[in-house]
Amino acid sequence: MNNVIKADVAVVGGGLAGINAARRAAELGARVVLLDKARAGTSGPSAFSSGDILCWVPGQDSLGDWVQAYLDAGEGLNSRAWLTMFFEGHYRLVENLAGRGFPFILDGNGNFVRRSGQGPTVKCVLAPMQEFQEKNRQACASLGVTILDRFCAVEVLMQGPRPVGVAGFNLYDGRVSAVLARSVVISTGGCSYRGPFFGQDTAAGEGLAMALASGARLAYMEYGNHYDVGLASFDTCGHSRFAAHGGRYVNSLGGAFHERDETRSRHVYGNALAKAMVEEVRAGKGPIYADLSGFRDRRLAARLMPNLMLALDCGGIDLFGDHHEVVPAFTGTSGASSAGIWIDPGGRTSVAGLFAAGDSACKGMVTGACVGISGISLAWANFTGHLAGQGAAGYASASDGWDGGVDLRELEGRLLSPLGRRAVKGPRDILRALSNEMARADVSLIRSGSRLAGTLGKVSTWRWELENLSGAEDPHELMIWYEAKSSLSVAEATLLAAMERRESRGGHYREDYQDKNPEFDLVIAVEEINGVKCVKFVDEQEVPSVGGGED
Amino acid sequence: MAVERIDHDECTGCLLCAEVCPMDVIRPGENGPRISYREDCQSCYMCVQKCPAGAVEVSPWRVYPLGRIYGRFDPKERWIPD
Ligand SMILES: Cc1cc2nc3c(=O)[nH]c(=O)nc-3n(C[C@H](O)[C@H](O)[C@H](O)COP(=O)(O)OP(=O)(O)OC[C@H]3O[C@@H](n4cnc5c(N)ncnc54)[C@H](O)[C@@H]3O)c2cc1C
Ligand code: SF4
Ligand code: SF4
Repeated sequence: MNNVIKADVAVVGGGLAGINAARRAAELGARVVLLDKARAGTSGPSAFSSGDILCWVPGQDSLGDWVQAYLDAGEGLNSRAWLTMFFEGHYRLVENLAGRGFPFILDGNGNFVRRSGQGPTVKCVLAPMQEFQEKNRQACASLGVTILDRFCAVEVLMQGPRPVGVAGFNLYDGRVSAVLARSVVISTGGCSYRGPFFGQDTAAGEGLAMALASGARLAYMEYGNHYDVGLASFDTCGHSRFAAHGGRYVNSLGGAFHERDETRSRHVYGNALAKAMVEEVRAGKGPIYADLSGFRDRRLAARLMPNLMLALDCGGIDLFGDHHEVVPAFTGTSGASSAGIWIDPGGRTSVAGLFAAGDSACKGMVTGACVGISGISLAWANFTGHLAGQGAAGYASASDGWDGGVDLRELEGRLLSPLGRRAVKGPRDILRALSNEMARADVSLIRSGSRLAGTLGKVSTWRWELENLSGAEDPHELMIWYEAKSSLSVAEATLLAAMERRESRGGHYREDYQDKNPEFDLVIAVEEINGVKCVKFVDEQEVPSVGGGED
Repeated sequence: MAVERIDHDECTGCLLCAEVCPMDVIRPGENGPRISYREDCQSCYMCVQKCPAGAVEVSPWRVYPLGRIYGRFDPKERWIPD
């Protein structure tokens, strides 16, 4: 592999968002390099997801009703214009993809099979995501996209305020490379802190940390606290879809606590369900079990989640017959959270030439304060990946290349500096301690100012330990060192924003400020100035509709 | 929760398992695939799914403790004041 590679567009991370961005940019004629620290296409949560893709369908759904339901659920922090653009544009994209042979589940008449889910108004189309991503990868390769697997990206190369590429290292041999590009798309997924929800351990927040360091703004970070539901004693992918398909959760007395009253059950999605579980345990009625005896669609589940079925078969587990203990499974900013890098309707971040998509980009403009809407994440990755690819290709064709070189030796010295450092504490231990802390319900779900401050103190200590007492033995461990560094940065941004929002709203609940306060009808942004994070309130702006999803 | 073993008698050496492992747990070694970083395995079964020889064995059971998810609300935990 060359140490310096030139391209028009560099895409960092090949989940659904990144691979869509790469494909779209290549379709528009850009020379594209797609980087992934694992294998592009099949490595991130995109490939392990259960394939529920939120999709408004004209003729079947009322756009006005959908937009209004999401505005209600967003509690004043999302935007009508964004919602309209997202629903309409995403439907166009899904139609285009289906027309081009991407595998969606269709009924006997060739119509999309649709399923409901948790959320204000949820109807999803379904796709087997592993198959989908393999096809996407092949499409990229046949369009001439250069795919570099096992390339761990560490930083966006900046020339003053302008991004000129991406630097990172090869995981197998540790070789440092620079990809020089006219525009850069960040699509490394969110930050899951390697939490107890499965198939998402690659999502360690690197993209968010890289964007912050290059001057870009994050937004809605206090909502980077998504909880799904996971099994307590074994790992399976795709458990999240079960509740919406006839499965239920029961307490130790066998009571279906979240179905107790009508009003509540309609609102039991995402973090509300996790909170109901915590309250049940708090009242002495734990543990909580999954009862999947009423689960429908088992055959479809096998098509959508082949790895889940393998795990059950290999482990001799009767997931549908027996009751298994479940726990709130923290996923951080990964999945149905509103948090991430701020983008405009063109997929642009606040730094010109830098684009973001998927879980890396904030979803708050459509989800607002609502955390845990089924199918939103795949829809967002699908749509914003396409947007960012289009934007990045357009930006690259209109801008001059950068003629300056890169000082590879300096880069190598800096990027590899933790290698070989004598470590008192391994980066894995620090990441695990952080993960356990952030996953605590009393830190991320039922918050208080003093507990948030306490956790922030621990995060500062871990950051100091990582930088001064920790190192890496080989390139694999170096990747984990950078994952820990990035996750700490995302945790800091999340905690700071959560401290600043002195009210309760949607997925953000403060014991010390239990009511919603109209003074906080504002979006919270986090920026980094000279390595220090600053929090500010910004007006949630209405945005012009610019379409998207066209072929 | 980890990849347990690769049966080298069954293995054909195609290295598909190493190619698809999202966590860089299985690497191409000198004599075929090698389990290099077991502690990072996420039990995603990608290697098992791709292996044409049925040579990879993964356990779904969780090894690491879950930590204090319920925080101070867990009745089994001692109450920790703010
Ligand atoms: C088990 C499970 C089930 C789910 N089910 C659903 C569902 O049914 N519906 C739904 O809408 N959502 C679902 N989700 C959530 C959804 O899958 C994700 O939110 C979405 O796929 C994110 O896509 P993405 O492209 O942004 O990122 P990802 O899929 O996270 O991809 C990011 C890629 O970037 C790479 N990368 C990361 N860091 C670096 C770096 N430093 N350098 C280079 N590459 C890097 C990773 O290796 C990865 O390939 C589920 C998630 C899980 C885990
Ligand atoms: S995929 Fe199976 S056969 Fe191929 S190298 Fe791995 S263990 Fe061997
Ligand atoms: S189960 Fe997944 S993470 Fe573990 S070795 Fe196999 S492919 Fe890698």
